[in-house]
Amino acid sequence: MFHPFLTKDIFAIPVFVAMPILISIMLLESALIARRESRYVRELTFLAFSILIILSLISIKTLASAVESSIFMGKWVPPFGIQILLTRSNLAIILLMAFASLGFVCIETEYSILNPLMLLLFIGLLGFFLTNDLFNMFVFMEITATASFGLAALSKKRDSAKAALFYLIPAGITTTLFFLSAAMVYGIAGTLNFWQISTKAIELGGFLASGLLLPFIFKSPLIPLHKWKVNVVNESSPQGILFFTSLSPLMAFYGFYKIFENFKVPLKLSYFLATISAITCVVSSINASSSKNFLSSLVYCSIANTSLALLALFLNFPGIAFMQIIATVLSEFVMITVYLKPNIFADRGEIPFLIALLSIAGMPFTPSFISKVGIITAFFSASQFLGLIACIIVVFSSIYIFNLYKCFEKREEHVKKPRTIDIYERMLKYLIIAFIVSMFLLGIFQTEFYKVSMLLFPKW
Amino acid sequence: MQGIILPCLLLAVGLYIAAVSENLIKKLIGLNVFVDGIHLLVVSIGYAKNSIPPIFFKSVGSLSTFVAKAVDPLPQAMILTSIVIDTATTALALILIYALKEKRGV
Repeated sequence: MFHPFLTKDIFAIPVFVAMPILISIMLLESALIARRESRYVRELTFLAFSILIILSLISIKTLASAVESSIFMGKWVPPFGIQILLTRSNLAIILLMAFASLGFVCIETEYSILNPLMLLLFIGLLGFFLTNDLFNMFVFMEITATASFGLAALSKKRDSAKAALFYLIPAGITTTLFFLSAAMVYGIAGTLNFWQISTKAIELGGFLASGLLLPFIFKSPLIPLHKWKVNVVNESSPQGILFFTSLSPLMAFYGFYKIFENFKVPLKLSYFLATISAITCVVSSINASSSKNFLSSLVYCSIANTSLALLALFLNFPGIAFMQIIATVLSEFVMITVYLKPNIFADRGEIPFLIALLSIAGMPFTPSFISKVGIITAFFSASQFLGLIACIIVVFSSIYIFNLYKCFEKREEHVKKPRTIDIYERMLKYLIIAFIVSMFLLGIFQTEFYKVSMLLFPKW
Repeated sequence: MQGIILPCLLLAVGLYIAAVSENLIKKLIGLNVFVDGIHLLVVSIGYAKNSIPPIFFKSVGSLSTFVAKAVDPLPQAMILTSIVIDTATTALALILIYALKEKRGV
């Protein structure tokens, strides 16, 4: 059997790859112990996320000299051992997630138990992005799901428990089907390690395809599994809103990419998924432009932009899809945090909100502009018909901006009242500014951004 | 053959209850039956006739004989993990149903 991980180069492994997970677990326990003093829980959580950022930045230096590095938990080799793999592509995602995580802490929680839940969520997300194993992908997906059920349910809104419950049941069914498909892959290939699976060239078809892809279709979410997200976000805690609109698409994108990269994907399946993504993008854009509620409009906007990225991904343009996902995460993060904390800006957040809105609609010198031009160019290079369809979809994916801004202007009067801001809110303000600056930096250095994206996420 | 029929029956029954039932507790029971069906199906993937448990004793003989005869332990390990996750999810769902009943009286 081919064992690529037994080569000497791969065994030169930095131990700290796994450290964010361990530190998160340790701090989760400390946070649970210090639960009576809710002030310390928040500080500990903030410390944990700061360490995560520092570790991610150190990891960049390590990966500058090596393409990837991995560790085997307990030195057991697959299929029995767990492999944690750090590549430049998942490091880029972890960096983005690490900075976004600070935003989660900077917004005060309605219940102090949400802080350990946030840590649990990020343990799941880190594990999900770092694992190179199909079964552990399932495990970390379930950890993330369990934490997200909590973030959705622990809100003071009236129907939060109902929305969380109606998210829990289909999520449980889809991830269990993923588990069954993982077991089937083990039955066929005798391994669950992605490296070994890729050498077997297993065709992704029939039940295997539906089982492995359903959880990500549900998380993205693509039509017809999209209704839950609107209900959950409307009833969720602020942290839940942030997760479902800005980080959940990142998870779906990475999950799809991992599956498509390591399995043999039939063309028919790719075209089928691309068609669903295109329909989702158009329908969600129409819904976003007709919705009266700000949060509903924002969720549909997030779904439309995620499905646009997935459209590129399914047609084997993962680099462009990554650029679109980056644009979605940055803009959604800014829009939501400004909506949740409008008092941190003197003008009540209209200007940063407008910048983020125009950015996601495809304003020049922003990542969304580059990704949308990239999608149109890539589709035209395939055929003129596809290019024309891409143009229509891209135009549709920007029609909601007027309605979204109108909804933002009409938000509840009590939210608008300015008051003094604390240290966390000040940090959030700088974080939002940093996100906006990074949007423009990515837009200005668009050639480099394009090249790096293509290198990080090559075609399969 | 029984290794396929029984799990598939459980899957169908579980999915039907989860989809059709209006009572939330019944929905949750349906989900659990569905998950148990999948566990059974995965166990049957790892099963081999006349095999021995995957624990090495000297009485088994040589290591190569053990490897040839022993049942694959990985599906069992996977199910064990899945059962733990399933228990956590069920507990959480029950709390949510309880909270819903407290808030809305549903």
